[in-house]
Amino acid sequence: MAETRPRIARLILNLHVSLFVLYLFLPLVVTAIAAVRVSPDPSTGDGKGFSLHGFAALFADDRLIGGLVASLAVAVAVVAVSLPLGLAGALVLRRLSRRTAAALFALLIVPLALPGLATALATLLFWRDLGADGGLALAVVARTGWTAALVMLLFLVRLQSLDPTLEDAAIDLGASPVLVARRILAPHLAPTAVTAAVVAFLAALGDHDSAVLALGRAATAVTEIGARLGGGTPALAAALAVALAAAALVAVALGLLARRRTTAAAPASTERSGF
Amino acid sequence: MAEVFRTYGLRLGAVLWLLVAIWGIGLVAAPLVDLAVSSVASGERSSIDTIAELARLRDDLRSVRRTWESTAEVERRADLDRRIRLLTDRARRLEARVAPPETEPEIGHWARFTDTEIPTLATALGRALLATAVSLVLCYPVAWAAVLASRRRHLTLVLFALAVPVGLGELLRAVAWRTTFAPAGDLADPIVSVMVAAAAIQVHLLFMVVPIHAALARVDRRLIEAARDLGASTLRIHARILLPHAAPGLALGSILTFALAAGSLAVPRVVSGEHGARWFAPSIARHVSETGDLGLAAAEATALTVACLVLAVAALRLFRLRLRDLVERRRGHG
Repeated sequence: MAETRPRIARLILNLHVSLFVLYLFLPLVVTAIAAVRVSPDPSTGDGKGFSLHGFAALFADDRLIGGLVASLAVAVAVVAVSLPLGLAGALVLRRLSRRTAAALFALLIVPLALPGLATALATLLFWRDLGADGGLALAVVARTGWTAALVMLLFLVRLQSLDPTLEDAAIDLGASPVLVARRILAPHLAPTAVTAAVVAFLAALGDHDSAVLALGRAATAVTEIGARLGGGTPALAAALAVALAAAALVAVALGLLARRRTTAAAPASTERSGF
Repeated sequence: MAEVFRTYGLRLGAVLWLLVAIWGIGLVAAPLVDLAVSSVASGERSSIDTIAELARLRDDLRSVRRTWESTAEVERRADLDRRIRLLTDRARRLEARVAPPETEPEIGHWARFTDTEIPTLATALGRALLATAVSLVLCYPVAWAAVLASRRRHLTLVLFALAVPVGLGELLRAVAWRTTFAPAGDLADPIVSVMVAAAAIQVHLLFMVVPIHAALARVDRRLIEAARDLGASTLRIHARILLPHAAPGLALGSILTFALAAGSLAVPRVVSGEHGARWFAPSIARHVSETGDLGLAAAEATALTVACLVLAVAALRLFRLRLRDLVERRRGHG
């Protein structure tokens, strides 16, 4: 089909995609360069050499390193909570009557349509009324409403390609529900679970808006940089950006590896491994 | 409901229902109801956040001073000096606020909201609409290109590459934008607005590309080949076949992007500096963490929530979708 496509349309499309990628990554490249310039204040642009000053400052900064650890912990916790929730939501929804499913679906995906800030404030007020204070745990809770809904969407889309009668048949033939889950559902959903885990991890890792309200006295790396924006050091922010990008890259690489393994294990009948 | 237990068994079914209940009630319904109630409650809430923030600042100051004492480098000391000045200044401002806030119990939160916040909310929603429209236009071709590339098996790689910037988060990407286009740090006003727009859109592109891609990937390729064989132009194929099929993705992407753009706290803070006073989202955060005016913050957040939900419903109407069309294959297209 590609051969019969008009040449001009293809050219425009390729140009657009190239510009798009440039637009997406140019600021990141500039930041990475800023992180290794000699000047302690790379924004002035007088340092031209190479230096790890920014990284040295980052590692000397207790609060930022603590924040980085907190960021990773929150992101891992968000994955650990939103995967089971999203999966449970998807599994329940596909077995409900149309009307009940529509109502429950609407309730569960509401957070996706809301800014993280609003959800976080709601979470903060609610838990404060129950006597809980802001902190890392509350940041996880505040973020989970959003990520769990996203995870559920991914699972629901994936479940579209699984015929429910397959499970019904297995149960009629005497398989236990646990066996059905292990032999039919798990292999089918494993690649999507990997994607969902990576997406939830990334969305929680870089989160600022919902964390900043829910954290209370605690801080993640991102909120810590946010608190210092006024007169903070750009080299530090740049170094931190590189550190987070490295964490994101590791997550993505692990995700790709795990996906390859799970897709290989998945039944070959699935025509397209959609997101 | 019984169907769930029949399929998954009693134990597994109960676990699934329990998880869904915790999620639906504990994470979504109850907090949102509490938010709305807080926005009309007259009770004065303590400014715990201000006190917490102040304690945090003092911790900071202490640790920065310690670092200062243990550093010999002149450059680094100057750097730390600047931070100490900044922190002291902020702590002083907060101390002034911890003094009992003047209470205005006779004026409700909503009265104060309508007096002062409606124009900023309208501006925020307008900007978010614009950002959504621009990213729709930017992302549709990219999603289509990703579908075309899927034959070459680079697809997963491309989409995962797009995901890396998400891990940085809005704040750091906005910082990256600032370093790229205004390295000196001073931003003239028109440039600021363009940068805000560019950064705001850039930050959320992935959440537009992936849903559109998912919708387009479901289109049967033979349909397109048939149309081309029958002489349809590329433009016509997009208008008559691909766009209608992409509708669920376009709607979901728009809803996600709009919410992210309307409530973005990080982007305005970075690109317009500390004085993001005229911005809606930063004003919510300020009322929570600085003035401790939780009632007004709740009113603002409730208004934002309602606006986002109304626009989400409007987006579904616009694309003639029901909610479940977002995940289900549609039979034919309307």
